Amino acid sequence: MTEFTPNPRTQLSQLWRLRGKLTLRQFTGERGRIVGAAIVIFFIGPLILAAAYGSGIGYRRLNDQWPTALLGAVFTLLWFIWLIFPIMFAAINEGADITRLMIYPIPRRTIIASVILGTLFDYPTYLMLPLFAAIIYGFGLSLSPVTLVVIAALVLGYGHLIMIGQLAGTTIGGIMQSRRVRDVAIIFFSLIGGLCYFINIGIQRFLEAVSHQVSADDVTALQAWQPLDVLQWLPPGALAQVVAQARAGDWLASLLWLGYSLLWLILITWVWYKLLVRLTTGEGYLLSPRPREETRRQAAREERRERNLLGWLPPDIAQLVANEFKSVWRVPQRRVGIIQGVLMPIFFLGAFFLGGDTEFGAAPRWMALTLPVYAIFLFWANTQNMLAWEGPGLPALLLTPVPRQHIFRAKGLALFVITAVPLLLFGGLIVYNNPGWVSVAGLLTALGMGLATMGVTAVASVYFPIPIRLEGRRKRGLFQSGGDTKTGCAYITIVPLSVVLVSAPAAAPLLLAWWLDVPWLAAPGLFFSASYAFAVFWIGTRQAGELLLAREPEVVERLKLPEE
Amino acid sequence: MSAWAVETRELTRYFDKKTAVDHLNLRVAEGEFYGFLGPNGAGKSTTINMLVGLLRPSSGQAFITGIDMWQDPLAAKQRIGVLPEGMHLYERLSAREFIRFSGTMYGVPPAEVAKRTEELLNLLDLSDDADKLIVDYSHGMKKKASLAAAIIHSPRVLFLDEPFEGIDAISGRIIRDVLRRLRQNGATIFFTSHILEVVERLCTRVGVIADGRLVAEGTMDDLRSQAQTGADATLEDVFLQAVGATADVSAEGKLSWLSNS
Repeated sequence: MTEFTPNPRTQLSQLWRLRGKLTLRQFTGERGRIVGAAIVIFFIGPLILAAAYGSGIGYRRLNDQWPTALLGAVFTLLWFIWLIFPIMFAAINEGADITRLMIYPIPRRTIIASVILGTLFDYPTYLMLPLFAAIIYGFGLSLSPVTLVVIAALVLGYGHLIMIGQLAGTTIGGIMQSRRVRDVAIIFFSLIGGLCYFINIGIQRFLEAVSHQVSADDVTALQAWQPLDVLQWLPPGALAQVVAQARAGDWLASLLWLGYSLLWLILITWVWYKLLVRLTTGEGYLLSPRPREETRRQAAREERRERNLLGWLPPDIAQLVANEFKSVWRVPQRRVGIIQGVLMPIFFLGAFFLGGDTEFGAAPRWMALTLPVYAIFLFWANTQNMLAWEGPGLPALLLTPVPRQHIFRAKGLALFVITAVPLLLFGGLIVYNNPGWVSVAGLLTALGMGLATMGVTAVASVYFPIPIRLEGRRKRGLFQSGGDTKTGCAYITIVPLSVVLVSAPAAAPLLLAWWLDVPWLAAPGLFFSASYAFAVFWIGTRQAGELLLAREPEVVERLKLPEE
Repeated sequence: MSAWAVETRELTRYFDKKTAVDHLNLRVAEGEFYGFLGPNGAGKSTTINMLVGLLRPSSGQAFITGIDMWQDPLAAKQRIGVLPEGMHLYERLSAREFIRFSGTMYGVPPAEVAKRTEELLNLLDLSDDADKLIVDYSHGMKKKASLAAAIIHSPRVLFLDEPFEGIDAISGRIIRDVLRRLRQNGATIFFTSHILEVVERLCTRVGVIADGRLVAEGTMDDLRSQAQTGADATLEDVFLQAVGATADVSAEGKLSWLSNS
């Protein structure tokens, strides 16, 4: 039997090629990721170039302490980018997972070298190049010793950034393998767009407030402020101090700060190495998912809670309701839908009240009439395609003899409770803000319209099922789904139209009472609305059940994902 | 240097308060086909992970052909091939790329890697799909790709964790033939399986682990006599006897609702 002796240099070049190949292959058959990369290139790329241009000009044109303060800010920004990078991409790029290499006879130093070289395939490496170029342009575009110091600081800075990225990845790798954290990340990034709006308003308000109150003393204090006094003890600030002292001609201080930065690099590398050793000898990541025992205890708690809350329902419906609650909580896309439902009125109210024209407390009376519209949208969004959320479990459900209308009624009950929360929040706020019969009747009518909406979406979910990928492992893209053009068109035409037409009668009494300004009409009107909505829901779910029973094989077939 | 291909001395692993492997002493001779059996959670995979350097033992030692895995892991890993429980595949490589990568990591010269890769792909019936990404493979194909990557350097000791799990009859037959060939070539094979029929057919010696302790070991005849199950006893009988499950494992008298309905 021939024995082979591995050559570390060959191994290193293979590992580097592997990392490159796997980085590229992330995009194979992944339109979503290609679009993501295009966004990075076309959106973040120009931003970085603009930042590089702006900072380069700033380094040259700002006076006093501000050029090096700006440098400190740029290094800090890069630190944040490199800290966040592994959190966002570790789960996608399997080349970054070094635990897979542990069965091979690869020396540890080869693995470390491959990890460092592998960063040449990471986005942030290239995102920081223009910023580095701007630093050289700003501070070192001359044949002076300052240039040498700037280059030394940049080399150290590059080392810091690579190492901090690796340290973050090694520390949290175990957590990133947990479905729960991936879910939270998905939810966070899905909602951040909405939050930006508020941040924007907040900054605008803050600047307005500040600009009215700034005194001459404040300006003097700001001019005397030395940001590096705070930042200098951290790696980004220390690097800025290296350059600041060199510019001031204090070479000894500059050298000392360079040494201090080097110490940081050694410390970060040492901590990373220790963690790497731990990881490569089976001790696992520093932070790992929740232990099994705790998971079991939590499951028992949930089971008790379910029994207490749903014990009054027939057992099959109770079980289906419990499953639906779990699905909404555990499937990140669904949770995003619910959270967005909660945030939508907040954004709406925010836009209305924070826009500057209207004071809070002066909501117009007609605002209550928007509640039914909001309810239709909310219930339609959260309850459409309801069978698809069963995922691969749907055939198992359909193998049971559970009455099919029970499936829809249970789903309807769970979704009604969940979707009513944001509606009650928004409606409650309107009632509080503008007490009166219109607000109360608007809220109750909205709940009725929501119920009626579910009668329609139940039937539509059998006629127009669209497969959805629930699994968060992301081998082939998280949100990839199927569905044909006809189904897609139905979802934006016939289904919303039916929802509006069928649920509109529930709003008729309210509108009539409002139009004629006859408040007493609202009371019998509400009774009519509630009865109508309940009837639509009841008949709709029964119809959906019968339809499902007749079309089960077709529904299962259409809900299969493309590769199944 | 030890004559044993695989040896453990008082090998122990704790997970929090649970003892997964409890002072295990194993010896597998070179050229043996050693079946390592045990019920779920008995400590089989933990033992294999400690033997191949994927899990640090809490105490004790693990030797591969006399080399301490935890003192000189590179030398030890050079001599082994591993088909681990989770397979650890790079799913965005094709099978051909993955097998070549593995060969290079074990130090097989490039020309030899290319030649062996093609032979393995042919033998394991993966040639037609050799350039497809592994992510698109079926479970059986993944297993075969993983096996090819584990044996490309003709290891002296091959560790296989459930190699036949989820494998169809044809693939199973191919894998069995490959393992036989390896053994004929002098390799030692250490494997776990729940398919006792395969173990009985292939293994020269069997060890049974329960609650982290070795409860029985020997050839089939040895085990039959140890367990006093008679000459006709199957490995299943012997296994159940060894893990003390004979009284509990039968469904007789349980699930009362089955007889009432």
